[in-house]
Amino acid sequence: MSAPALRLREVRKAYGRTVALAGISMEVQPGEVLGLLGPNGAGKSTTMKIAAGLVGADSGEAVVGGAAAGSRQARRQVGYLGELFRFPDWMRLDEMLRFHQRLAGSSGGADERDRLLHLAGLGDTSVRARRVGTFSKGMQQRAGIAQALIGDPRLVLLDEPTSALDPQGRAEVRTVLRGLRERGVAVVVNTHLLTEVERTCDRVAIMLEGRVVRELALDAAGAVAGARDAAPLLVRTDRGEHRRESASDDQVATLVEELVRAGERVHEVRRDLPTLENIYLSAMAGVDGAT
Amino acid sequence: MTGFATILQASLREHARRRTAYVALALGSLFVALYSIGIHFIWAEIMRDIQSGRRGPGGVVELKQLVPATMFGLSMFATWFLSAVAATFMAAGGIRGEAERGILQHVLVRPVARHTVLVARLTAAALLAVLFLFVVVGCCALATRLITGWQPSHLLKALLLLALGTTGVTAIATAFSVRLHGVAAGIASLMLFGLGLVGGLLEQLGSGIQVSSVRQSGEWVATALPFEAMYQAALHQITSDVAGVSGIVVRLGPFGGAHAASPILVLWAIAWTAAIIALAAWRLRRRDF
Repeated sequence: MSAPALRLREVRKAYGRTVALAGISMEVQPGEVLGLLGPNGAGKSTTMKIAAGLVGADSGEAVVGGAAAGSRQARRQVGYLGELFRFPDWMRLDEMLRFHQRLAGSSGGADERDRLLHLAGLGDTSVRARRVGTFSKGMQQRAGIAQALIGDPRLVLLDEPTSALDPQGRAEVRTVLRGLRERGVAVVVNTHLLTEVERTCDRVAIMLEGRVVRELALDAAGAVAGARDAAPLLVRTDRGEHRRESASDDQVATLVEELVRAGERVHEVRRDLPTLENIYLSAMAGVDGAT
Repeated sequence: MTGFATILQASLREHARRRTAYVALALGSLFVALYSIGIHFIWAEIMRDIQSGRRGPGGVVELKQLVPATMFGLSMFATWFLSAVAATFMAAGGIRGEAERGILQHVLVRPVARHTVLVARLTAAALLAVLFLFVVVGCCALATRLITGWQPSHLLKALLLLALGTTGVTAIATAFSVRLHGVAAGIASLMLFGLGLVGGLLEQLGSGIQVSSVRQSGEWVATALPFEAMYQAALHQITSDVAGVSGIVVRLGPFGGAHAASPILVLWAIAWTAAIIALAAWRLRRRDF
């Protein structure tokens, strides 16, 4: 396995007397999409800002692709879209991206700008000549996503990237994230939208009061990985309900066969899978809800 | 293109797009026009007085030096003051103001040193303010020469000294902008600028009334904030070639506080400005966004 795109070890950060991070540790591998969940003030944005080099950790270790977070070498590998995203309102869209290309040292030129704008849903040539200040918030967020992908970063940090987007925009961002994953780019997404996390993330870290209180992997269907077999099973037939505390796929098939053989008509087979929302709410209440 | 050049170019373009440069140019033109009209009428009246014999022949030569030099000196002060105010407005919102709007973070994430961002933005503001200073003072000098025939002795040296003063004010505004909101940074910078000017006046006043404590207090303030010293040195430059009785008369007038800029004074002003920039860069490096 290659070196992690982001590694945090016992990172602490306080703003005056307010503790934002109380010793957080996490790793994000290349090609992995990590979702950060948690209530306001949990330390999600601070975590992203430390990775981006905008905030210095008080102690601990923050490493981006082998370089200390915040160093020039680390920042060369990072693409970032902040929660508070604004771009110079006097700049035209194409000009803004060119500005960031120069700062990032990207040699992608017009081809890269074309590609990223198409990807972000801003491919219309008339839009490129418009001043960013005339954009709606959603368009600015799309422009911000394009900006974050300049220079082919190895680690993309997106803080609430779909907060201003309509459902179509959110779907497009999901496509962008899937594309990044396929190209081996590590992505950290901070969002309050659990459904977005279920649909896009490989792994979730739930944060509370500056700590990761729960980490779980999601399968391709957005379900908690490994939770399927452990989830309670309910089979409803014409003669009543049959429950199992847990059942593998094979055991489900066997049970249904047996019931049919016994002359029952099966109306419904349902696994009571733990939802991310349940797990999240349980974590917030300090209860382990995954089991 | 380097990070410095990219940010400098973008900052200059921003001031052009926001019409800052055009507004300064338009108002600067208005200032030159008013100055030209003013000096035209003053000069015409003096000429009439001389021709009608209302002013004795003994003072004519001195008058022909004193009036244009005084008028030009005042125009130079006004323009310098305006350039310092313009620089303050351009620089005061540069760092924290941009960060609060969420713009700066996306620049600081790029592999460009934070001090590069700071110096590039400061350079853009100082360049525009100094350009304003050079153009307006240059036009006033031209108008003075065309109307009165008098011309300042070492205009370029005077302008360079004033430019150093303006750059110092820009550095202060930029340094304050790292910590303070745009408005607060602007007010703090102008207050310090004013304090520097008051220090220079105190020094002159103390010398005039021969009270050493007042003079010394003024000296300390003027040394700690070496803006006014740059203006006085610039004044000295524009009249340094006026010799004899005319020179004495000119220096007895509003040019009384003018003094030559010693190399140490110039070096001190440069070191002072550099120290302010270094302090701001150090603060910016440690700041969380």
